[in-house]
Amino acid sequence: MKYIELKTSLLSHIKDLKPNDFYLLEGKLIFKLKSNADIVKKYLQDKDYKVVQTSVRNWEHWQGKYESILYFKDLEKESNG
Amino acid sequence: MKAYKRNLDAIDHTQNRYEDKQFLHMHPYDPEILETVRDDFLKPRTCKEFIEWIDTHPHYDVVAEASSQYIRGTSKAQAFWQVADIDADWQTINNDITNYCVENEVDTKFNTDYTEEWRIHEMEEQKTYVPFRHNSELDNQRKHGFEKQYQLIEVTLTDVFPMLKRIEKLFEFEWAKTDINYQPTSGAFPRHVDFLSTGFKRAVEHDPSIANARYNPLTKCPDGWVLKRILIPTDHWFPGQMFSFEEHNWTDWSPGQVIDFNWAHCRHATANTSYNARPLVKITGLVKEDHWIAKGEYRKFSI
Repeated sequence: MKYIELKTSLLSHIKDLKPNDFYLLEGKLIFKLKSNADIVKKYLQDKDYKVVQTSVRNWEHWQGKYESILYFKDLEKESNG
Repeated sequence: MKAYKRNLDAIDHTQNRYEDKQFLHMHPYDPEILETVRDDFLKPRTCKEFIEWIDTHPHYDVVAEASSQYIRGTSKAQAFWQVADIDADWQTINNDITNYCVENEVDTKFNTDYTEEWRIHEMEEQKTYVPFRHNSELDNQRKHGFEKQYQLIEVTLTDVFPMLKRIEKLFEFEWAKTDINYQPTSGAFPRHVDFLSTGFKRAVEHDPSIANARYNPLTKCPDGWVLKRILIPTDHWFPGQMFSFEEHNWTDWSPGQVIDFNWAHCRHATANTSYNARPLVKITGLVKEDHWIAKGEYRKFSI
């Protein structure tokens, strides 16, 4: 699975989630608001994905602030070719 | 169709020199900037438009990072996989490489600097194989202390390694280029993704149908084609030699193993913390989508 496919799917299935609510950083989804990360995490877990949630180190050289990171532990059934 | 010719002299590289800190980027990259660059990268372009865009882009390193669509958690089998085994006299091949490196002081003069300095052959000998190593990428790597990465011995440009040229032909790549990626002890090449631009640019310059084909920003290949890069160790793995593909690692390799990998999206990195040099043959080229290697098939060869 590619990021753009995942993002498109999440945006089409989760009401009120906007394109600028989260981005991709080194393979992980990084969210401006933890509340949105919580919603996405629940949505993915309901689909049986193993999802890890962590806090964010916000760097001085970043323009914005972020509250939460999500990443997958096992996408065996998916393709990223 | 008219052949497309890049105007290399028109490229202004001055803004990429690491003396000019304004154009360097801090790690980790700003997620919002990456998203903006990714959106630009995904815009429709022909292959020649893409080459011109990236050739003149002052922030190659950001484009490369943004071009990765890799999602953490992707399986090892989607990161790298074995496509062939080659039964050959690897001991003689490896001895030839070792002797070449001794004669050319490859290990002792080990410092990865600008392209004319870190390749074994002079630029004049590379007229039809314009090396692609955007300075902004190298500047950022050197800025972070990666000054000894690997040495590139360009097999395609020499008559020194006839057996390796025979091996190249086994795979029937078009626009093939073969190099020995030779990493002396202490070498470290930071994580990155590829564009395989050296061979791709030659194809764009010489084949108008590829130049005018749509560039697919998700496969990072011309429509109808698959860019391939395979890796073949010429020596056994030694403890301390590292090759990572995102969260997955390739280790304990043997001469003649042929590895294909997700060069477009998987951040890969190498380090040689052993006390033995680490030579890998690297063959890059284009294949059509019905080529056996593009279909993920496995072959055994004997030469």
